[in-house]
Amino acid sequence: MSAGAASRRAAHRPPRRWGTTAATVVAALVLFYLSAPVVVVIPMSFTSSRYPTFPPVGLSLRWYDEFFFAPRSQWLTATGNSLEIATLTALCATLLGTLAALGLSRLRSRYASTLAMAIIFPIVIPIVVVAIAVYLVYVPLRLNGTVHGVVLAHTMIATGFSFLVVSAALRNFDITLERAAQSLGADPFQTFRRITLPIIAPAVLSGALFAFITSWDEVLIALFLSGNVMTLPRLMWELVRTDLTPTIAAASTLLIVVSTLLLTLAELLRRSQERRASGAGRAGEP
Amino acid sequence: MQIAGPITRTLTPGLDTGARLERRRQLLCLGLAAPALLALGVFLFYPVVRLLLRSVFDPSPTLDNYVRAFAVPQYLGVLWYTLQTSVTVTILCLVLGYPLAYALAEARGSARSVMLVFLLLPFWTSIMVRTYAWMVILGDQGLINTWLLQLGIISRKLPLLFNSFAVHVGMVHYLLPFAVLPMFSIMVRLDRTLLRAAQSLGAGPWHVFWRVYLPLSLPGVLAGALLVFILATGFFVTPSQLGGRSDVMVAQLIQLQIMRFTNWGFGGALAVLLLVLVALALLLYSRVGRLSTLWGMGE
Amino acid sequence: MEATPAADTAPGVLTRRAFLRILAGTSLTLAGLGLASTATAAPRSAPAAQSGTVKILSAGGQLDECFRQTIWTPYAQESGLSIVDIGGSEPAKIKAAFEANNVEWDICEAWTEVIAAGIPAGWFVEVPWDQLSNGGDLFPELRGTTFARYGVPIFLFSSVLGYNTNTYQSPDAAPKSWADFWDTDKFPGPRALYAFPEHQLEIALLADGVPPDQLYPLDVDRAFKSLDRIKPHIKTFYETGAQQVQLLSSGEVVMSSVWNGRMFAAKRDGQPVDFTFNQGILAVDHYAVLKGGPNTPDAWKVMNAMIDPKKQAALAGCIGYGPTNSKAFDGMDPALAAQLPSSPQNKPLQAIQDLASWSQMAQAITERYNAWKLG
Repeated sequence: MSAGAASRRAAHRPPRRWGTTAATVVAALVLFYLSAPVVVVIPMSFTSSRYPTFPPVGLSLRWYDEFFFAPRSQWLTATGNSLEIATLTALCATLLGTLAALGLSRLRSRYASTLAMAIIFPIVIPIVVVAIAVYLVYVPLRLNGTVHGVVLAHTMIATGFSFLVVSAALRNFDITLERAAQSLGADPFQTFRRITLPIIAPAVLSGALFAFITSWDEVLIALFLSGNVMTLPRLMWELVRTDLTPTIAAASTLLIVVSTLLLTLAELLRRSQERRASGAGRAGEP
Repeated sequence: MQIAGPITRTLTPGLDTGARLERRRQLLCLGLAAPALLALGVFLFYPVVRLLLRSVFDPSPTLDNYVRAFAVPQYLGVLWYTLQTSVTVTILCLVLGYPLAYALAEARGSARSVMLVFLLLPFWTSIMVRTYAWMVILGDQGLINTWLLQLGIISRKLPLLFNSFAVHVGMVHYLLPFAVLPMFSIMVRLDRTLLRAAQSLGAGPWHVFWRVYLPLSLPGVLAGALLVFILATGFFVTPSQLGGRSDVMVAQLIQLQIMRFTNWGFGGALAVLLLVLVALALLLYSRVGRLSTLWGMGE
Repeated sequence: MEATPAADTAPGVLTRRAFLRILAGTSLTLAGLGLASTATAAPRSAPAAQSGTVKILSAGGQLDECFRQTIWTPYAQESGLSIVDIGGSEPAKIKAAFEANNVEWDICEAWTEVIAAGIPAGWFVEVPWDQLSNGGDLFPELRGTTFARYGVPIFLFSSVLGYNTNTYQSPDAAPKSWADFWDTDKFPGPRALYAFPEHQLEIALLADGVPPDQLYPLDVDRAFKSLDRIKPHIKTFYETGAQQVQLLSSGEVVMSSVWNGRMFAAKRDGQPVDFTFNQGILAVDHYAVLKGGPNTPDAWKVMNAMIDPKKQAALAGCIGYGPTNSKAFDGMDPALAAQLPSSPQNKPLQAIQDLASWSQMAQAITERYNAWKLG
């Protein structure tokens, strides 16, 4: 009996305490390394000096003024372009990715996984190869320097994300719900609209979010392909080398705020999707 | 809910009709995926294949472009530097990321949420913002130098920017979340009872970790390593902005050869070599892990 | 609840009707998105090539702004033509357009690499000098070169020695020659050079003591030996004009090879930089008309306007690059003339780049320079 009592006591002893502490310390340092640089940029944007310093020398909003109201400010144009391109990319990528996910998840063929991999593969191709390959083909097609050219290229790399997220949601989706609806006389289109879509909606929106941010932050394709259509990442790329004023810090701060919002949205959607996946199995739920 | 009636009625019309309908259904499912596949085929795969074909057909059927990549010492040096840096960065990400993933997996509730915020916020921040941040932190007049000088710890500025050090710092900073998230997702689903079982059999904390926890967490480590390595080989922004004159990676060389020097054959060859590197990494991974775990990351 | 399903609506089957509805919906959405982006893009993209529009594939940035201000917009108003400039004259872009037989620009900025690629490839239309009314007033030595067959010399610029005035607070204390640039004992501090070999080899040879009139044909080996001596002190290689100014004005480097026009504009903006014309490398920038462009006849009119003396003088005032039309100096403000590379007091100090000699060796030199930078 004493061996059993001893082993029960051993089971209650917190495992690897020193190891866990060491890991936590390292973890804290690593998290600091990860987030401090990003956070540090924010106070820098309020400095009144011409060079970004921390702590900020005096407090001033002049760099935000520069961002929004400078007479030939490229910042607002670039932001507008990026917004337009990213939104269109999100729409197209979501459309293509969601339809493909729906189709391939129901396809009972040994080619289904090959086709799925074909859709996901662009994510793994080095972006520089994509950017250059696409550039050489799009220029003769007069797609360079246009919004739709960039949207097209961005959609190609973003579709895979939407496909992945929606496929994952469909895997957890209870197909008997669809069958139940159809047995009640709903045609497939109605079934999709009233049963499937509401349940996978958070995943669809998540995929759209990933597609949006893929385009919003994208540098390389924009660098080669966007021509006169300046995008926000491309503007920062050029200015980081040539004009290191704190206006970039102000732009960065605004971008960080946007990122935080998008991150929160993504998390909310993820939880919503989880809830629906687990809740869908419950009988009697509307 | 009584649904057997209507279903049996419609299912009985004979296997013949059922099989035909099933075939049509499958065909229509394929049709749903068609737009994505066609679009990708025309606007992505075709351009990439064309670029790759150029590497052997530009200017005339030849392997010269590949010979050049390996024969000219400085180009070989670029390939080697790319490989070296990618491996180093991968190892750093794993070493730094493992404790973080572990701590995340062990943390509960609000502690974990807070940690995740600090991990995901940089992940969702634009790479240009992060590059800018490092430039103002590492520069001659940047944060670190200014503080260390003020505190009297150093008497001369440290060269922290425009060199290999800055490139590594920047790349690890960007790629760490890609290592941590797969490791975390595996660790969080680890069966703790196995650990307790080992303990109850008399294993000390180190042994429990080394013999039980680590092997169980290995799939996550491999997935993270693969992802980081593949992304690292194709890096362009970080070595361009934070690196010195000899910190040139393959992506920059490709850009130069194609955009500035119109050596499309040679640029295509370099692109092929980069893809081969990625393919080798995937192949290696498929031997020791399962590619399907990568898909599972979305969940 | 007795549902009577239609004949082909077995459970789980996607009816043809439903599928067609989805297909229609998708196509309409995509088409709608395409139209929407085209509509919003329309103001930005140039109108379809029509007589009366001339498209210029230009340098971009500050240079374009000056061109627009002093030449293109005024001439567009005078002539009724519509002149659209698109930044980004890169060899790759032009080559891709020719490969696909789809050249959408009329004029392009034919800088060294574009010329080096374009003349052998046959991208340019031969210049009809007798049709250009201003052509006769160009400096004679510019008319006689190989390049004047395919490109019109539009402005003169120099690569000169630029320095930071916080480090060298008076012109006496400042470096005055490339030998000074190479003298890291007397003038310590980090330097910058151009990321591409254009003019940098000449600079290295001048620093090594080669007299300006004996620069060409370039002794490439000697140049690279000279470059090796300064390499440890080169902190970075700049790729753009804006970068040059940034590096110098922030004090990140104490001196650098620079383009005089950039220094001209930076000084005007009050930046702590200055330069000397001594031992500068004087070079010509051409613009060329592309074969197969949409509107070649009007393109030559625009080219002629670009070598109009008054317009060239205005351009010089904006960006500090020298006119190629000798009449442009008539009536010019002497203070401005003194700052231009081709003025009487500055021209003799410099070496003139031999573009023909350069473009023959361009490919080999560039490869070697790239390798040298990495090593």
